[in-house]
Amino acid sequence: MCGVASLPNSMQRTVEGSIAQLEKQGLFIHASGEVESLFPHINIATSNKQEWHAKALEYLRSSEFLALANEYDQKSETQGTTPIKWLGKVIQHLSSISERQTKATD
Amino acid sequence: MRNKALGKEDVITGLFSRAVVITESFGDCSIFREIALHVSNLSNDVYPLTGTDVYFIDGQSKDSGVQYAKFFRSVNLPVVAILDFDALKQSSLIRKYLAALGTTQESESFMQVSSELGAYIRSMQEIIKPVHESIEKVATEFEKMTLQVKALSPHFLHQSQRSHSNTNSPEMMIKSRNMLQTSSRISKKLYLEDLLSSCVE
Repeated sequence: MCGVASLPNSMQRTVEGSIAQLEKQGLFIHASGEVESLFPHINIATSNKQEWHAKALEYLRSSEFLALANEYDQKSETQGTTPIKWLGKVIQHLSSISERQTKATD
Repeated sequence: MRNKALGKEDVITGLFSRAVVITESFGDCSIFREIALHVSNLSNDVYPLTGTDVYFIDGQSKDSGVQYAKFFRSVNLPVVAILDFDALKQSSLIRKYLAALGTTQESESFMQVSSELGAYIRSMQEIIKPVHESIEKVATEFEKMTLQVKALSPHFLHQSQRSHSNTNSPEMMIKSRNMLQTSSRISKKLYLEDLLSSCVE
């Protein structure tokens, strides 16, 4: 997570531990740079949010994105989470709540 | 639906989906939604839910997101929230979210981290403040200079137009025609003189 990486070392671990605790409770924290890192070719200042998002969405809908995102995910396998893996974790969490609720209803 | 802060369309669409994710802004919401559609395609893990089963809501702010979380939890729909990193320094907000998401356990270690993080961010802001002030000063000076250049440009434009129109005035044209005629007469005279002298020789 980009935001955590910019913190002093001593704080990084405790913050990461804390974020992991919150995730277990359904509250996910993301650093703003994390999503933007998927779009290194979009040469628009992220402060210009509207234009940046329009470009990002256009790119996400292109076939080019799938290939790059797949490659990006494999490359960063050892470097912790990536936006796609991270969002996978969010969906995984929702899935487990859904399963628990189904079991409780049955 | 009594709570006017909640968007009616979001609530209805959320109710017809299998799970809900609350985000802070429209940008986050649309990008996460799009990436989620790819999650099941890209990951080797098999999820009971896919990106299309999940509805992403633009909570419009950190505070109103809490209301959405409360509502969807009350109707037993799986719900999570995604917040920006800066939310970590607001321990009261995190408490509200945890309560809305149905978590009863109070995390002491988190509250400790939150206060440490808040102190760290404040100390960084103290360091950044003078740099930020210098940048603002330079920006103000630059803006002043730009305005001065803009104010001067019509004057330069007028001068240049005037000098251009001077060369095209009728007086100037007559003068230059006269000069041409004189030079032509001189050259003719010189030519004749040359010819005559060559004949004499």
